[in-house]
Amino acid sequence: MSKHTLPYKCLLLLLSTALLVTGCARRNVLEDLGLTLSVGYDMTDDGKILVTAAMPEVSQEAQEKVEIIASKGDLSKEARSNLGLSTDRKVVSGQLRTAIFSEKLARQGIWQNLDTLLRDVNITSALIVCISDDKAHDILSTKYPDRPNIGRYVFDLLRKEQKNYTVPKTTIEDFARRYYDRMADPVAPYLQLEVGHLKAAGTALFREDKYVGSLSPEETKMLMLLSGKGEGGDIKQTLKTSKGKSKPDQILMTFVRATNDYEVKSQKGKKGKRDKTSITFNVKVSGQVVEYSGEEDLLDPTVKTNLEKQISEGLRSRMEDLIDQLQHKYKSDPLGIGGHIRAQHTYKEWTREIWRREYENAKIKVNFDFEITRPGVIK
Amino acid sequence: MSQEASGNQQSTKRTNQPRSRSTILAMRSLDFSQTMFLIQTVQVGIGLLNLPRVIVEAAGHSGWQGIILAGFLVQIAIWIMVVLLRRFENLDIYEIARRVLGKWVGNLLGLLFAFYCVFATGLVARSYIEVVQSWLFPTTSTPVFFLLFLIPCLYCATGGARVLGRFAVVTFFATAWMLILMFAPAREVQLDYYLPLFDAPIDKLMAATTKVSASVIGFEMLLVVFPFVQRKDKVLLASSIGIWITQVIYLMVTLVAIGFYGEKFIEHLISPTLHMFKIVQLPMIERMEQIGIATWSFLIVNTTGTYLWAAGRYLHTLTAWKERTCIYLFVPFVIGIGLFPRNMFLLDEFEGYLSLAGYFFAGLLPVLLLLLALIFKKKGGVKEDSSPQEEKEESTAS
Repeated sequence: MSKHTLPYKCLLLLLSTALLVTGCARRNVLEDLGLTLSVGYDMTDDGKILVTAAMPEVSQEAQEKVEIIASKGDLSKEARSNLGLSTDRKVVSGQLRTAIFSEKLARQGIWQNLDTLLRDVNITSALIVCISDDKAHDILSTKYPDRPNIGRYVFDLLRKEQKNYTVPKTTIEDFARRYYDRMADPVAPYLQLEVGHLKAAGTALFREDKYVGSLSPEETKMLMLLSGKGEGGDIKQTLKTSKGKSKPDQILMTFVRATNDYEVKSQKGKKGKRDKTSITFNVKVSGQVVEYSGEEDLLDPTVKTNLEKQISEGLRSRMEDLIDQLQHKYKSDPLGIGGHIRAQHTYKEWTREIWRREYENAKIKVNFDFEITRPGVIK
Repeated sequence: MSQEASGNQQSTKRTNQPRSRSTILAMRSLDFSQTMFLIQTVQVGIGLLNLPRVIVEAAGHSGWQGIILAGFLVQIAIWIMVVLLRRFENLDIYEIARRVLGKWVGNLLGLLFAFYCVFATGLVARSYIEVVQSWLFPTTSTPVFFLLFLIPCLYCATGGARVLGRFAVVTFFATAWMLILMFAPAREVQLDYYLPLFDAPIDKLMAATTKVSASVIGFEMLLVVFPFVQRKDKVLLASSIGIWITQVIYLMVTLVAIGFYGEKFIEHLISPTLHMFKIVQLPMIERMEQIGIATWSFLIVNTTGTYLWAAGRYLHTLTAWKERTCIYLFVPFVIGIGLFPRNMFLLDEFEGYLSLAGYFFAGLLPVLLLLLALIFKKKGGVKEDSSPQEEKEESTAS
């Protein structure tokens, strides 16, 4: 028996030396690493790309809590690898949480930059892509006295606001998926720099990878409701002016339940005319009143039905306006209406041209149905 | 009778004394679940990582129907295999080939089968290393990694059918939990991506079926493992359950991938299954796919180990050498084949040939052998185990 176990023992001994090899691995000392939390992309006046990286400082002696470095390059990858030239730390991107693109750059298309980020296996697919109204470099390099770590600040702000539906919830992977799939255009959170603080300012709209315009937080909430999200969000509606008042009444509601479905119908076009597709969104929402500036008794059933009618009608027309803007002003399809149309018909091949044509010609209607479940805690 | 004599001769050469009942029982040591999981885990290898992309490239978003079609094809192949194997009772593919085709042709065919197994071992291991290199350690040396990888693989292979069967059960339960990771992307599936439901024309669907078949290959190990199965009457059921577990896993992964990524984006992801592991967000673990890849090594060790053992069985049935020695003899070939492709593109080409060979050995070979056996009225020699009633049924069927 021992004759057989000896070779095994030797082999085991040999294998156990592999444990010693772990000492040979390259160590990553936290102080020596530049953990990029946020990266900003700008376009300079001479057409180059300016990449700014924000890396939190972990050592206690440092005066600044965050190190900001920037570098220029013709390609974004080039600029990113040049970043290392201006810091003594090793720049790593494994903790990258947000990528901020300036509006100016985004109007030219951001796909090239995103592609290099997607290819990097170290970068999480939950990376948030956002657009800033001004230079991304300014957002990262401005000092926020109460928020020393800009990388975390941007990420936490956006993540919090995503839950309130004032900015869309999009990661780099969502962006890439929408960029490729020919069924919906990408969207991204829109950031503004105000004096001393950042502001989540709604949705940035894209046509393919090019920025075409932005929606306000209020409009973003409607967009979310139309795409079947928005539970827990709140929205304001102006009501008819009641007698003896100069200002119209306002009401603010929280949506407790929101369901959404859509119907696609295609009408045969008359001779020589193209078929017309009509899409009806049915949004059913029940919610409670958070704030009401009118004086009527909300517990009164007739007042309640009257209010519900006004709110439904008001939101319906606002949503239809919004869709009309998307269709004809921005020519962007963030709702994925193209996908809805494609799903109901068989096309030989669904191309971008067919999508754009169908989308712009589609007749889109909204049925908004609102129900007050609770009048709130105060009568 | 002469065949039976030669069979006995071999066994006496090996042990120098007639086998006792207990050693035969110990040899036939795969119970129902071990058979099932062995077939299942050998099927799941490196193919699943790329499967959603391969399917979508072939037939668009309706390509998942190809998986179901492939499932039925595999079921038919399994059924034919079992009919063939039952006919020869206790023999594996190498001995059946010798009996049906004669010594020379049979041995040649057996050699081809053995080399197919060696090819599969080398290429599957290399593809896995390729995945590890592109996701985790880009600079690690391929030969060293390959040699290190062969250690557990050899351990399983030299352990024989019993170890392989037990390892298959471990593999299944060690890797099945990864399906839970699919919940995160599954919650964000968009139904629009599946519609219109039946969009793929029949020719594209057939192309997708062929592509899927390349990653369901592995069930042909039944041809070698069969003599070790305890209950020969339950083997069809066990292996059928095994292959359908595989099909269900493939179908789930592909459906989630299509619904989550959409057909256009999938085409740009080399391994959509691994990309989906990245969706899970855990507070402590940043990159879940690293754990996924590491756990995947169970499946690869199991697959390569079984293939290597199957190759070794060829020499073992041909000569009087120990099973262990036979397996070691094939190792240099495995290393050669595994390290030969210099880059991904060559490796892809090799994998193409491998799947072609797989179609032949898993699909066509059993049919051919069965037809020849029926024509020449060849059947199993050992009579002690089979009841006479079954014999009669089989002879009337033929």
